[in-house]
Amino acid sequence: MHSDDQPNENQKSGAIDAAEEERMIRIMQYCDGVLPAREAARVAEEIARDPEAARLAAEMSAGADAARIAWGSVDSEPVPFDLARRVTQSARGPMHQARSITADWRMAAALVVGIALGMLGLMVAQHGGESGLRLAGADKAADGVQASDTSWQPALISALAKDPETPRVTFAGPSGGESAVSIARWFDTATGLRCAEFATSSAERVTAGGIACRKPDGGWDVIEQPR
Amino acid sequence: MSEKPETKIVGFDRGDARSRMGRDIVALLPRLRRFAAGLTGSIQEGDDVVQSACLRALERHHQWEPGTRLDSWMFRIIRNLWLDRGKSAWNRLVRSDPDALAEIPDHSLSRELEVRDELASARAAIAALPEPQREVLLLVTVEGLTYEAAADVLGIPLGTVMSRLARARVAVGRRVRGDSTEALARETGAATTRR
Repeated sequence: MHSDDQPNENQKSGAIDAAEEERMIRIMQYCDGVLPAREAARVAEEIARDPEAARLAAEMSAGADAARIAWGSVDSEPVPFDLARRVTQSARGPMHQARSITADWRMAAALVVGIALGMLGLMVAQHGGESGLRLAGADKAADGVQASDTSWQPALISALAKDPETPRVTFAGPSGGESAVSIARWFDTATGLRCAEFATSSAERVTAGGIACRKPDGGWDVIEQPR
Repeated sequence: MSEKPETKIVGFDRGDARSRMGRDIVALLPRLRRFAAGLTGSIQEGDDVVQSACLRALERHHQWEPGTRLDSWMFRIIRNLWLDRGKSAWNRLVRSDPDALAEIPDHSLSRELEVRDELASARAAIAALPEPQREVLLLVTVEGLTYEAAADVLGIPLGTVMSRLARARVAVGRRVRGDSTEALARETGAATTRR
């Protein structure tokens, strides 16, 4: 009955014995709020009484804070255009991944657009639009197409504001005729995001489509797929 | 009825499972990237793994059980791919380029020198962790998975998750606090010298 077949991770460092580890875990669970009330009260008492326990609790919290500081910024960065495009294309089926598409500049207009609602005041249009939008992650992709391609965005914002309705919002298109943004349907993702499928059309012809998902801050992440 | 224009949604118009999964995965991309960056030690390398993982997930979309967490499933795929590659950018960068982590942008924090020090100190502390501890720290503390969900993603016992997580946090906390006496004062609540 030796425990050699279950090598203990402690043995490498040798610094922490079983009782100490148990205490660390107890304090961590307390810091994370996952202990039942009665047990939590006991740990709180231990922390109040024992400076060593208090130190562990402080280190435990500082460690978690540091991890969030170190990596917290990555998920607020715009998703790279190429990455979102490849996933989107692959979801449509392997047949669609024609190599020539990469070189097609119109395809490059598939933008990952971070839309912040106006009142957040975070984002400013790069090309003088008044809609308070920012095209994110699109720098290398969007040369030459942004100016003509942003006119639908304010209409999309209006349409999205009508959740759960599926409105059709018209706007003056780049070519002068009437264009429209339509919400096709709303859905919730498996991870609880609220998203809408939309299409833009011009003179009854669909010009683009995409999905918009609400961000926790109230803005929208939009992936557009030009027709 | 007939007035409604024919709105054929491009890209995600088919209601099949693969399409739906593609949509859900795109929505998860920010978090997947963050996890992969943390795992690999580099945003670029992380994105590379994320892309492979997304394509693999879509190929095998029928293997995902609806009703279970898609994020956990994706984390597991990312991690397995990373293990398959059998190399860690962390090991390289820790040895050769201590500033490599500086590539990770941080607009909100970079303004104040003091906070930037905190950021550098946090990243250095995390870089010094053994990889098994780092991945648990990422999944639970940064991605917000429960201990149980992390155990499931990593395929290790719950006790091991808790043990690694506690050690990782204490090690990082100790180092960060050692780096900054001000942080020490803040966290113990002993002094509130900041304005």
